[in-house]
Amino acid sequence: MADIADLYRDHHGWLLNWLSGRLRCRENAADVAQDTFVRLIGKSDQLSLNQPRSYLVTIARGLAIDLVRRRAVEQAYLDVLAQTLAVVTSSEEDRAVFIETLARIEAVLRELPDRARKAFLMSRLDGLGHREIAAALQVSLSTVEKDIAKALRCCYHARHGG
Amino acid sequence: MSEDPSDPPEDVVDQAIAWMVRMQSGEMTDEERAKLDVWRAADLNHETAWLRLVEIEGDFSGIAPEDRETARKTLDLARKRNNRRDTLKMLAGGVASGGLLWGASQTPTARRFMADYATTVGEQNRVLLGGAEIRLNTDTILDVDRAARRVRLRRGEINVAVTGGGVLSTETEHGLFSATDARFVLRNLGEAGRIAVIQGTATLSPRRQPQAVIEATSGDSFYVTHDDAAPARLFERMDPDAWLEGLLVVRRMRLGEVVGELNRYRSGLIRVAPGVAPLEVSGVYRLDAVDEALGALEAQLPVRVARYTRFLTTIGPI
Repeated sequence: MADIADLYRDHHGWLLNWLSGRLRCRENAADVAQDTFVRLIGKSDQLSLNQPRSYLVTIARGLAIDLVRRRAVEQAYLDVLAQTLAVVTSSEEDRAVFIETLARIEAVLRELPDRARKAFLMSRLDGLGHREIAAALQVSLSTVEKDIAKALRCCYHARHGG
Repeated sequence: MSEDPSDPPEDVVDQAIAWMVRMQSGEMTDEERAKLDVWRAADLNHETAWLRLVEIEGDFSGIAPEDRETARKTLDLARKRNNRRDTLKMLAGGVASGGLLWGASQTPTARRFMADYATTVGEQNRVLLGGAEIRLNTDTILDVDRAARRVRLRRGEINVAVTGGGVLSTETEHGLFSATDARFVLRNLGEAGRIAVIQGTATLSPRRQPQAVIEATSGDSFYVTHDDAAPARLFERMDPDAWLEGLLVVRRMRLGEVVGELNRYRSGLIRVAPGVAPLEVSGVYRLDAVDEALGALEAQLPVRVARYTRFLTTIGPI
């Protein structure tokens, strides 16, 4: 059975290269490669796999996708801010918490179809009732309720598996 | 977490969701509210599922009303971008994938011959291709088909110097740019391709008008879209290849455009207030010291540079 140090020695450079080619950012690639090995600590039973590289890539890919999507939320926030020309009054800490919240919402709604996502955000962020949403989206009330249930199911399972 | 035996069964989760939908509908009656309380108290699984949903709602209720519009716009923009993000497509592609797709018509065999080159923000790179040298500027993705002497600029900017070995074809999604003995700079602007010929002669044609070939010689620059080509008059405003020396050289260029150029070499957003964006400036700036360049602009123009975070810098009137 391979030791994590062996695994690191044999595959860290390769993984870093694989990630650099895809993330196009050496710094992010290094962070993700590091996180990947951290995830493996305490999972020594997995290390005896015949295909350590495909196992590493599976973990690294998930982490990298999360990172890229998180950065996208950060960048989108800045761009929205730039468009609104609003005076930035909130503290850096408040903004960090805000972005963190948005990144979490983005992550749980990732797999949701467009209409259901729209209905859900109209409900939770625009504060619209189900009838108003039905009218706005030109669908029936029961469709809106199904969509919102679907969104909640999506959030639930993103957080709690299953 | 999915295997945790303390997880409520699926039908209980569905019931909890039905209650939450009802509660958030804006039409829940007191009688229904009382029934919900009874349901929650009836079983520990009911309460667990319910509290997990309440926790999810907390992300939304925690956003202050005045921030909700920003939240909504940010989420929509992030989703739109993520849906078409090459990086995510590449990551999803798997280990065996050779990288970027060239186009739908490409056979897997042909794709094997292709190597991908990429630079990150602030980085440059060089590719040699029998008689041609291609330099990649910051944040660039290039597909190279060595056998066909063809390269595709998917993103960013390249300097192409071709002196022998036959025709070298370069392309963006907008059009084709070819030369046998020339040096030119090609940039993919997203909405158009832009070529600036430094030496010799290159030909170009929009992708949907392949017969409309234009010959461009030293000092010429063109924008090329899928259907059209138009002069870009780039040399009047800047030295298109100064980045090879690590410099930005501009002549009476608008501040908004200058900052747009500088912003390519460093991550984070530099926002220029509309009031000062049209101010014209001439100068030479180092690309590896963007903050220094911003300081120089501040000294040259009636503007003030403010740094909020490492992601956001603004330039506004004094």
